[in-house]
Amino acid sequence: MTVAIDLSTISATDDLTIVLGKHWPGIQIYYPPIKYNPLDGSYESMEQAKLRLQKHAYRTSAHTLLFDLEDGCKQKDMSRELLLQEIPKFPQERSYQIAIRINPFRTEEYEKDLKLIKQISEHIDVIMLAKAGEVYGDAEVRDLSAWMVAINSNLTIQPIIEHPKSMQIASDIMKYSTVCHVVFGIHDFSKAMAYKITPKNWIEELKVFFNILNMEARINGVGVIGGVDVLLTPHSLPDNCIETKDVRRWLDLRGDEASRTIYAHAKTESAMGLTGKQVIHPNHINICKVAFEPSPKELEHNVSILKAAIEADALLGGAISFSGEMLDPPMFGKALQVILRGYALRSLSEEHMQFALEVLKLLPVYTIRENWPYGRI
Amino acid sequence: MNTQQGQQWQFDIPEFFNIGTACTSKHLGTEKEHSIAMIIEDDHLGTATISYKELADQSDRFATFMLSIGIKERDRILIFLKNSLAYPISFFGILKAGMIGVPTSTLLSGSEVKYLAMDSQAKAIVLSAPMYDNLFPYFEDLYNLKNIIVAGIDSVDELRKPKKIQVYSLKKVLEVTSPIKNPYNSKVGEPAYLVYTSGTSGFPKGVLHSHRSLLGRTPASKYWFDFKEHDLILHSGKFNWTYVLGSGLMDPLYHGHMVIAHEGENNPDTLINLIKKHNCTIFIGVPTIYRQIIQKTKYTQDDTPSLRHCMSAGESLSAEIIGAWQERFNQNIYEAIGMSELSYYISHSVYQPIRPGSAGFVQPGHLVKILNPGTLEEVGIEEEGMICVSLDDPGLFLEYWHLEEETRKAKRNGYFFTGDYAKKDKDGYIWFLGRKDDIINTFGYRVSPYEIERIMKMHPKVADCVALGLDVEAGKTIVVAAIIPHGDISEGEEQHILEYGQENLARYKCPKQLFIRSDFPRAKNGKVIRKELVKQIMEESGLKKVFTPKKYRARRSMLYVPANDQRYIEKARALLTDGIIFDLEGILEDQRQIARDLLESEFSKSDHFGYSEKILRVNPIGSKDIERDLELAKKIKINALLFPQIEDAGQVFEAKRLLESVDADLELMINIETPIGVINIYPICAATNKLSCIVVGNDNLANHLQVDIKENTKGIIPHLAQILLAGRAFGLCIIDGPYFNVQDEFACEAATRDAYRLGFDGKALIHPVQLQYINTIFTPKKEEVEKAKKMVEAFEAAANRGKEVALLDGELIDKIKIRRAHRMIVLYDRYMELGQDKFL
Repeated sequence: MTVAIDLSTISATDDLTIVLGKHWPGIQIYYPPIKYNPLDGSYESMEQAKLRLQKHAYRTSAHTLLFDLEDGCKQKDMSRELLLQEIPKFPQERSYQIAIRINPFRTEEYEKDLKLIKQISEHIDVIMLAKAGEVYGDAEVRDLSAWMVAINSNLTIQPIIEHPKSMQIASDIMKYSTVCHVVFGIHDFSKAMAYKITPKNWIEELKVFFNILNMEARINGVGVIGGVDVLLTPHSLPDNCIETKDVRRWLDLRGDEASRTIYAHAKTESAMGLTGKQVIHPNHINICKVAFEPSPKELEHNVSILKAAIEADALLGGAISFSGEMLDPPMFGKALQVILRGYALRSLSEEHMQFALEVLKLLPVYTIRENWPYGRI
Repeated sequence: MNTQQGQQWQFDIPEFFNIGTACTSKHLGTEKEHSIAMIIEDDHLGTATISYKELADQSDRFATFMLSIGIKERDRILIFLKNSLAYPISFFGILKAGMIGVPTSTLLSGSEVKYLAMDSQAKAIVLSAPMYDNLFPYFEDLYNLKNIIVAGIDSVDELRKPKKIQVYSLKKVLEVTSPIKNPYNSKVGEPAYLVYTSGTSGFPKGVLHSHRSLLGRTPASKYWFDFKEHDLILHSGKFNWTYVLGSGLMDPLYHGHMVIAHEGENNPDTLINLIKKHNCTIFIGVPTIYRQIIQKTKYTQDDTPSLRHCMSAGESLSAEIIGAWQERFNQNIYEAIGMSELSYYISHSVYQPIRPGSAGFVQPGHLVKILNPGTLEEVGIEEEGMICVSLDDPGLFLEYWHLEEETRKAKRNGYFFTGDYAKKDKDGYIWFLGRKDDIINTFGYRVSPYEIERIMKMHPKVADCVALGLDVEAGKTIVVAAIIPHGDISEGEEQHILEYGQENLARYKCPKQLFIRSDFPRAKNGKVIRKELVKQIMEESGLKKVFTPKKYRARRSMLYVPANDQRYIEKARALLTDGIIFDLEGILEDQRQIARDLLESEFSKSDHFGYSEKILRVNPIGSKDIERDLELAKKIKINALLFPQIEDAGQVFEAKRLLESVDADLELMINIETPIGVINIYPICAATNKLSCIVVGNDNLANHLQVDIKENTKGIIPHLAQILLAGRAFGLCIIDGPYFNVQDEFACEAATRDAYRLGFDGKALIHPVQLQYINTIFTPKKEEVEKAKKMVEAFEAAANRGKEVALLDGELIDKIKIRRAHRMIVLYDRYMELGQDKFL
């Protein structure tokens, strides 16, 4: 559904979701509500789980806090109870989304999950549907969407495509307005395909499917969230390493092989236009964030390109020479995408946001849609 | 487990709680509002006082300021302060802003502070003004550091400023900022402060505590402190030690008492005078302080009539001191044991008689058991087990900072496994037996060193004692005692002490040998490092064949400084380069005399260039300038002479002769920078054992060879390898030449990596921008040092079993590997020590 809008009057304080869509899922950290300790085979108590929540979850630096009620959760009732008690207490002003991964459609646990969501719907942003469409096709998303409308119209669904069946109907799943992003569940998917993927090369090994999913998503104005890396990294990238140079240096001097691999994967996924990546360890957050978020230098560079294009009146047609390169409108579109990626991942300064809006005002709607398909214009 | 018999304690844990607010603003509107919260007695700055109202206001202002400079909740702030009012203001202010305070000992070296700042990723540091200059060289190395707040200074205008870091004066900040309106409403379990403790492998590890940890400490207010209304507490320690942070800062202020803290040299007279001056009611100290007061002064209760309660922790007190204190001051000393992970949870209290040597009782409220770590079953009376604390104990730490695996290992099966062994007697007293590693296993018996020390310290001639197990041969460990005697000691008296042990201890427990020391190796907080003491004694007694690694000099980085430029020379004084090469050769001929005059004048101003090795690079042998260069060398205080363009052994002999004409103690260094030099490298290295270091002149060598090394050094690697091979054959230190394009950071870093991989000891450089990368890449990584330490331990254990090789994680470890491991450990320690003296 598209909405007519007068772009000439839009400002940074307006609701930009119509033009630019909602913020992206970005780096999603899997958070087990009740944790299992493999050393002694025990689960934490409710009090311990609450304490851990206060310690780790409230101020996560990830873009999405993803509570898992499906595969990674064995104490499901206790986990639901914890979320019921604690999620309403999360800070109102938070810079991350809260997602809940629920159990597969129409299972007993699924119904229980929905009961929980009904009670806390105003405090969450996303329902992540495991094994989407594997049994009932896209009707699963249709039914869940219909149910959600009555609960909270702001909620969205992130279906996980983790079986060839889902991949085949990905396009149908993406047609629902509640679906803004889909997740590529690489481990279940490769299992279903009987593919032997490796921790180091899984992107290459699954590239063909990435491309299929990505293309469908682009056609439907939907984002794709990348796969989970399982390699454990002993260190976390320091918060202040934000430029490529900083990361390279850190990886050189203090990094480990796993961090290098994960950074390379995140860079590739970001370059493929993915809108997020799931991670299973807090040490992965920074190294993946820095791969997805445009760095200050990258932003400056792309702002300069667009400024030069505007100055030369070449934004919609013509070419300019810039730093030894000949650039034309597709390149300007890419420059704009980099800046809007900063918006989508909440890392854009007010000044740059203002500039992005000025550029958008100069573009016809179809060009905006072409470059940035996530809005509803 | 028995706690204080019959006593119950119910923790009251609210949902929201903030330590900063609880220790300051909570007292506003109460009768405490205008009471004095803290008095600081500084030997140099005099007395400073702050009321609860002022403390609440100032810490509120500090919180506002921290948020105003872009620091966010949960960000870490390093506190590197001496005992001063700035301490509570900043510590509580940080917590009120929702940030995490990281108290840091002021005894650490710059490298150690840097390690903590990097590990905690601190965004800001609050430090005392006298520390600023000493820490300055490290600031720009810290990725995350963006703000420095300097206490004890009116203005920062006169301070040098590091690049991209804002520097503020605490005083000014508090004047211009308004108090925070809504302090951070923290959930009780949110992180509050991060303290560092010595890790098992010698690397400090962070212990993260939540706000509820203060509530977890409340049983101590009754069962250790025995707080009464209007108590005045004097603590002998520094706030940055967990012991003092809790018992000297948070606990008393939470309960609205007055704290007196001292900054300066801790001598017994000062402390007694402070008790007298302020009519202190509670004195908290460490055994050393109590011992000094008893042994070095004659004070009695008449000098401290206000004193009603004395407390001690850190190490165990001898019965002799407890007795003497009772006799002279008519007071008990209530001891406690605790740890960074869980405050002080076992202590003596006024509710049960003191039993010297025992640690007292578990304070009511704490959920503690002594378990058999194998079966996880509670041990019986008088049986040895590990002290384990329920994970629900509110005083328990949250996690080891960024050490998930370590946290998981320590926290499991519903308990935190402290690693401390203890037993309980029939009356419920806990007897601390030591850390797992400290317990001596002798002829099948497991012996607590503390029990032996307690007895031995009762001998009138023994001032201090540490009991140890010595592996005298494969499978045979004997108990020995290292003692610090009162005054001189005769052989007869030594014999008498041994006999005393035999009379008062079971046969298998009594020390079989005595080692007399003037002091023990100690950690920064004064605790004895037992492992180090065992090592020293083993080496001295020839029980252990040890490698005696050379006293390696840190030579990761050697900065060429053109000696004719005063600005560069001045700048070099504050750089963290391991060596500075004052270059008289690589400058224009007409500048050489100017350079010599300048160096002489600069050295006469000060010959202090941080910890850097000072190297004078003279002109080539036979040149007209060399005589004058050597004349200069006689006048200035340097460590080494570097002779350029060395091409044969004859020149090395000549260089040696010239060097000895200046000062035979100087180190002899040479440049190899020509093809002939490379061809003759073997005789050059073999010429004299006076030669200690070769600095390769890559650029000159490449020019001679007509090889382009702009992008990398591949073209000359075979020749570099030749130099390395010959140098290593004669145990020389080999330094790679500088990379000349300072603009091309990437290529410089690649060249440094190549040098490191080739096996160079370090790299020369021509611009400080290259320094950090070079220093870091040549510093062994933490994981490497940890592995090296494990290798050494495994090898020594195997050697004690009479074996020449050891197996570690499937890898065979032999002498050659151990030599390399030793070198790495020694060098790493050296890097960490650099600059340590500056903060003492």
